[in-house]
Formats: sequence, structure tokens, C-alpha cells
Amino acid sequence: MRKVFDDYRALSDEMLRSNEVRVPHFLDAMKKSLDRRSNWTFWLPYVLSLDVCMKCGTCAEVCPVYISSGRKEIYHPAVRSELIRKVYRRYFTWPGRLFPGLVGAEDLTEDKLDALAESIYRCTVCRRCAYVCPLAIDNGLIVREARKIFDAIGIAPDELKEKGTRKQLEMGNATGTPTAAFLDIIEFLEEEIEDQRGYKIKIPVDKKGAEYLVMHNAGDYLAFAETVMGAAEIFHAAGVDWTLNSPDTGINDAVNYGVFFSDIEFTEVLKAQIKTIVNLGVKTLVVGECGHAFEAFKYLMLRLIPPSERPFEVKSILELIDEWIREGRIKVDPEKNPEPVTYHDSCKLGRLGGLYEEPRRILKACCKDFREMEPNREMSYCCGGGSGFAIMTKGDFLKFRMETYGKIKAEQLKATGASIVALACSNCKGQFREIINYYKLPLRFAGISELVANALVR
Amino acid sequence: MPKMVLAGIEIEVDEDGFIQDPEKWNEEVAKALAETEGVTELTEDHWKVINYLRQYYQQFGIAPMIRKLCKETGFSLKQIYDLFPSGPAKGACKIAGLPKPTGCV
Ligand code: SF4
Ligand code: SF4
Repeated sequence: MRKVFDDYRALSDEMLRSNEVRVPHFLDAMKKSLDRRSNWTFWLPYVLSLDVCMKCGTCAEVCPVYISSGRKEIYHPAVRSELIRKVYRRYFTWPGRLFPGLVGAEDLTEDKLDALAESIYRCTVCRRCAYVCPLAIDNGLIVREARKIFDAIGIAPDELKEKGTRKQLEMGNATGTPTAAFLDIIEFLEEEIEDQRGYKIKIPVDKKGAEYLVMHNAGDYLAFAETVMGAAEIFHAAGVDWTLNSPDTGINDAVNYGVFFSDIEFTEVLKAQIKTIVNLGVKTLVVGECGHAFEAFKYLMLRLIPPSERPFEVKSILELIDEWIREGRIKVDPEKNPEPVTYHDSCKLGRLGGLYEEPRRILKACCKDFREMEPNREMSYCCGGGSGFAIMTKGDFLKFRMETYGKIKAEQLKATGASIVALACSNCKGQFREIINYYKLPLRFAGISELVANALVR
Repeated sequence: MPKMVLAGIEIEVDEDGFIQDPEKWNEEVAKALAETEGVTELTEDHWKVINYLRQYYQQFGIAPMIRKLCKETGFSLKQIYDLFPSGPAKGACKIAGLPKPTGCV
């Protein structure tokens, strides 16, 4: 593919449409993003982040893609933000309009627009940089806003939009699993649990009025079934009234790729999910092992949907398992997971979601040898699967993921000496599967639910 | 949509090289697709995976779960990666003429 920014491409030529005139549309969309009334999500931190930056470079020293690339200028968080700031100053501030040269304002050209579109798909919006900036500038947020502007002019990765949010709204899940296939999957999982554990459990589907609706990332059924099986065993062992849901009920996929690139798509998916949950009349929505879905339901939803329209509680499956272990509702024996286990903090669950201790308490209760990966918690490195990257594989994009973010993670993993890395996010699982394969690491990944189910004492 | 000549026929493929019209798939096309994936020879083991993928897809309209694929073919995930270096989704599904799996898989 044609080079527009670096050696990689996240967006195809067909998507970029470089032969068309896009700049005026881009500027219109950007104008809208700067207007508080048409940008409900993070308008204030966004405009504040655009206004200042002292170019101290503190952010760059913690940015995984910048560091691992050998400190390439193009991946510097503030340099990337500066691409957008130049446009902001030139078209949306008085000094920039009058004396562009003096204030670092620059005309936007079609070529620069191509480069900008690609550059915002090199950052995973992990917000590690926001954590250290002395001015609290959020370069990740600027990237997300830029992705929104591009989406408004029809430029977004097809994995996230056409085959993501659009497909989810049409089929009930982004994987395109029809109900018949879904039911076949459930039957197979019941058999697998019986084969593996020697006891039968019934996995309830579409049960109205259940106390808990467990909504997984639908990709887990196809790619990470052990997580789904583990969750079923845990809910069964807890003896609670729970259910999964099929596409017949509406949306049966916790993902919301709108989180990554579009408030409009985000809202449409979220509303369809809420409608499904309300129709099922469940008390609590349990978000399966999916980081961005947790952010969507636990935080973003509150800014958008009034409480009367969301008459259910939201919990991460990690919060519930942690509670149940502490209450003694489920009993676990760490001897059943004797191998050394480490944990990777998903950015969305950790830095954004504040779930640091829950997974650790669970793992310490369920595994004999739990080891921290360094650094961790607030300073955990993004694995490189974030913001949609885990499912973006155009051209050499997988190589980009492996040679930057993945490289750091592989080193961190090796240093722990663990033979299992526990993960609680589907995108992380997708990325770690590739990292382990690419770097031929002598370990495997496992969902937290899988390890808990392994440790269950019946 | 780009077009590709596979086994002497012109076939529409998506940006990732997955064929768009499953009707046009045949064993020769599979061999040609395999070459695009760096798989030079389709052995009996490859066919076992390909045939199962196709059969499941014809019945359910989607690729099977990875766990089920492993169980039904008797291969571990590692063996499937050995057979299809870009993995079950990107590699095996492509050669079997299925559309590219979507969502978080
Ligand atoms: S740390 Fe903050 S002020 Fe310093 S360069 Fe980065 S964004 Fe700018
Ligand atoms: S959000 Fe993460 S990837 Fe993006 S610039 Fe900041 S540290 Fe780098």
C-alpha cells in the first residue's frame, strides 16, 4: 500500500479516498467538535488539552509506541497532538488566522490529512501519558476526538465500523453469530464442561427477569471459549439466578467499538444494548471480560442516559467474583493452579476503570504463585491491542503491533518467569495470543474466569 | 473491490484477500489462496481443517468456535498455527473461502 505516514497502514486507500476533496469537510466536522453543545463527551478536557502544551516531553518517556520505536519523533505523543493543534490554531483561533507563522499554525492539505488519519491509529488511547503530564493534558483524548472528526467525514477502520458497530446493530453481535449458531455453541460448551469436569451444568439462555444477565464480548464465544465456560461454572457454583442472551433478544455482545472512534456509533449501540437489557427485565448487567465494554457501561453511559432509562445495576464480572470469594459464596483452592501466574492490567479496566485490587485479590485466592509484572497498575504498559488494534490487521499492521507495544510486553512477560498470564479483557487476549506466537514465549494466557473455575471447590 | 486471478479465474477479493463470492471456491482456488498465505502444499491435515470450516459455515453461516474446530479436527491450536501460519481466522478461513471473521476474534 502507498506510504502516507510510516511503513504501515491502518486504513485502506479505498477508505482514505485521497483523490477526493476532504479538507473542508474535515474543518466543518472539527468546528462541531469544538462546540460544547455538539460534543457531550469530553469537551472541556479536550479543548483545554488543545490550548496548551509546554513541549516538555514527559509524556513521550512513558508512551509505549514512542519508546519501543526507538524514540521516533512521529510517534511522540505531543508531536502527534501538535498536528491537530496546528490545524486548530490556523482555523479556529484569531491569532492563528491572522498570523499563522507566529503561533505555529499551518494550513491543512489533503496530504497532511492522510498522514493525520494514519497517525491517530498508532496510539491506542491508553492514556499512560495523561497520567504523567504536569499540565494534565490528555493526548489520548485528542486522538479520540480526531478519530471522531475523521469518522464524521466517513473515514474509520472497517473492522470497527462497517464490520463492527454496523454489523453488531444488524446481527446482534459484531461476530455475526446467528441464533442457531449461538445455541449450538452453548450446547457444545455444556458438553465441554461435562467432559472436562465430570459434572453437568445447564447454561441458561434468554431467561427473563433473571437477577444477573452476563453479557460477554461475543468474540469470546468463538475465540476464548474457556472464559465463557469459566464464567458459567462460577455462576453455577454461586447458585445465583443468571442468564446469557441470544441474538433473538436484540444485542448479545458487550462490545461497543464506538468507544474507540465515534460518539454517534457509541450511542446507537449503547441504546440498543439498553433496550435488550430492559426487555429482559434483569436486575444486574454483568459485563464479561472486556475492558472497553466496562468503560462504556460503567462510566460513559452515565453521561448520556438518564437514570430512569437504565433501571439496572452494572458490574464487572471481576467485581462479582471478588465479592463472592470474600463472602465465601464460592470456595476456591489455590493449590489447583500451582503454576506461576502473572496479571496484565488492561488499560480500560485499570487506568480508566479503577479495577486494580479486584483481579489481584481473585488471583491471589485462586493461584498458588502470583507474581506482579513490572511496572503495573497505573503505570501498566498497554499491550497494543487497545482502541480496536487487537482486530486491525490490514497489510503489515500486525507487525506494527508486535514490533512496538508487543515488544515491550514480551520483555515484561519474560521477566516474570510466569507460565500463565491472566487477562481480563478480550482485546488483550487477542493481542497476547499474537505476542506469544510472534515472540515464541514459553507461556499461555488465560481469562480470570478460567483460572477461578479451575480453582473451584465443589 | 479488488480482483485477483486465482487458479485461472478472476475473483473479487476484499482488502485482506478473502474471496467475496463463496460460490467461486473450489479446490484449485483453495490451493491458489494457500499460496497467498505462504502455504505451499495442502496436505490431508490442511484439508481436514478446511473441510470442517466449510461444512460448519454452510450449516450455520459463520466460522466455528476455535475450541470446536480443535476438538472436531483433533488438532491443538498450536498445530493449527503450524498448518496455517496466520492462524485459524486469517489463514485457515481465507483458504477455505469463508469471509473474514469479524468482531473480537
Ligand atoms: S507532558 Fe504534557 S506538557 Fe509535556 S509535552 Fe507532553 S502533553 Fe505537553
Ligand atoms: S495514549 Fe498511550 S499510546 Fe497514546 S500517546 Fe499516550 S501513552 Fe502513547
